[in-house]
Amino acid sequence: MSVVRDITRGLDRRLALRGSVRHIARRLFPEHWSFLLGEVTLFSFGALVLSGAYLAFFYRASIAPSVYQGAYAPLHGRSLPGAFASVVELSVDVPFGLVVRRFHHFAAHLFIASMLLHAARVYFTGAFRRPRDITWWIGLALFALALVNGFSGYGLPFDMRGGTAMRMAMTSLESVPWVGGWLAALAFSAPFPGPAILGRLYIQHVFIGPALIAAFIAAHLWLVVRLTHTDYAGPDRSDRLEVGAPLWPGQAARSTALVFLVAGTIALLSAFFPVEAAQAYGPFQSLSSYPPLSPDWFLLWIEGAFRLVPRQLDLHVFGASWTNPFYGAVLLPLVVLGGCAFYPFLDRRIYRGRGEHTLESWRRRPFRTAWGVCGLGFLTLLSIGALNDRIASVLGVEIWQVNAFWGAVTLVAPWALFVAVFLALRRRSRA
Amino acid sequence: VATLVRLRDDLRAYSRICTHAGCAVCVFRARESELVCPCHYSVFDAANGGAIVSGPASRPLPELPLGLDADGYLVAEGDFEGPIGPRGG
Repeated sequence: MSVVRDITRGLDRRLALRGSVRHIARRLFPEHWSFLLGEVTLFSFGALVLSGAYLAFFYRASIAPSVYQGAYAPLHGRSLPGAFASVVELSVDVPFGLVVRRFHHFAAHLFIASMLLHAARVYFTGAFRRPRDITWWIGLALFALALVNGFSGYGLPFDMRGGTAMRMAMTSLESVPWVGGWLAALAFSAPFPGPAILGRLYIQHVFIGPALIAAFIAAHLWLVVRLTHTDYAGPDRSDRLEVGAPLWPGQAARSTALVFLVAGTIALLSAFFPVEAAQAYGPFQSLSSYPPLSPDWFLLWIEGAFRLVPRQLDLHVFGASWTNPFYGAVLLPLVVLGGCAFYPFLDRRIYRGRGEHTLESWRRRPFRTAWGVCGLGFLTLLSIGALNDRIASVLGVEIWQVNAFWGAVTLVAPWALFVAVFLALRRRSRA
Repeated sequence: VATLVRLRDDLRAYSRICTHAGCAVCVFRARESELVCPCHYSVFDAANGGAIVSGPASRPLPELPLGLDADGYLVAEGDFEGPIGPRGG
């Protein structure tokens, strides 16, 4: 032990960290499992960075043709876009390449899924209330960055899926009134596919995106330490009394176990679920959009808007065109994220003068719960709308009929949900 | 880039680039003479100048006027009748 003490004393003499380390080590962490969702997100990010670094050793961000010389027989000797060829090499010829690609894939999905669950927990328990509204806004920025990075990662292999998705993203950016052409030229070296497209996408995916995510995570965690955790109401705690295990040693042990649980879950998924077979889709060919494709589940809501927003809403005013891709890919995400960002102000007007640090039961906040259910319902219905072709073929009807019906459902049902949940909860809280 | 479609007694050519989100309009339903974009299912009438049948596209699919030259070869008789792609680029 004296060696350890010598080292820590030596370090402290040089860095004078004793005070802040002690301060952080004594932070309290509440017992409830739902406080671990954010940690799952954090550890998934670590898994993404590590697996992504390995993939970056082998990926080539170029659409220039190169001849594939690897072991995958159907493509051997064929001229392919450089990026696609390098991804096939990664999947077939590089040791552990495919399993690391799958690990990266499932880490990304877990990253976004756990982030969503964490945000839902924060929302429905009122943990976003002042003074934690800044933490909430940073979380929203993280969510937006995660979606962008998830999307650019889908594009990088430049297979049929990736190329088609990038083409749609470029036209969406182009659809922004007035400045769309410049934005598309900047981000995607338009017209499609410009020679620099993958270089820009790659820098976004491996540098700009992760650097911003890391910076925002740091700010998010710093605020958690600074403002302390919230906690559920209980007999032994109050708005002025924190209860829980200290970071060292109690929470450190729990978190270490969670690291292994997260890594193990991702590893098991990547071992047993054969996703990311880029060679199955083939290289991107600009003359084709076949077979019909879907984005990853976390972007289905935007795809749903692409399919459901009718052309009758197109506008030609103020010297610009306002069309479906702008509504679906630009306006909708801005409205959803903006709505989430604005909500703490609305909440404060409705539930004014309550405590700050004790979480509130969703049952006792009818408006908040109903509004959240309404928003989640809307996004879910939009996401189902992205499956309009499959629904039409199962029901044996035309796609435009599905669009008309489901578009109406998507507009009306969330409000019905709002009213139903609100009234049910209000009746119960009065009884 | 254009797609050549053969109708019952006619040949027509249309832009390959969907006017909705820029995907390739690469499906042809011969019975209905409809060109379909499999990305978001914009449907265009190949017998009627690429007019919109259904789906999210806001403009018709531009047609490339075809004709025969002196030697009987199929030629384009002019440019596409309308801007190509979502922004006409």
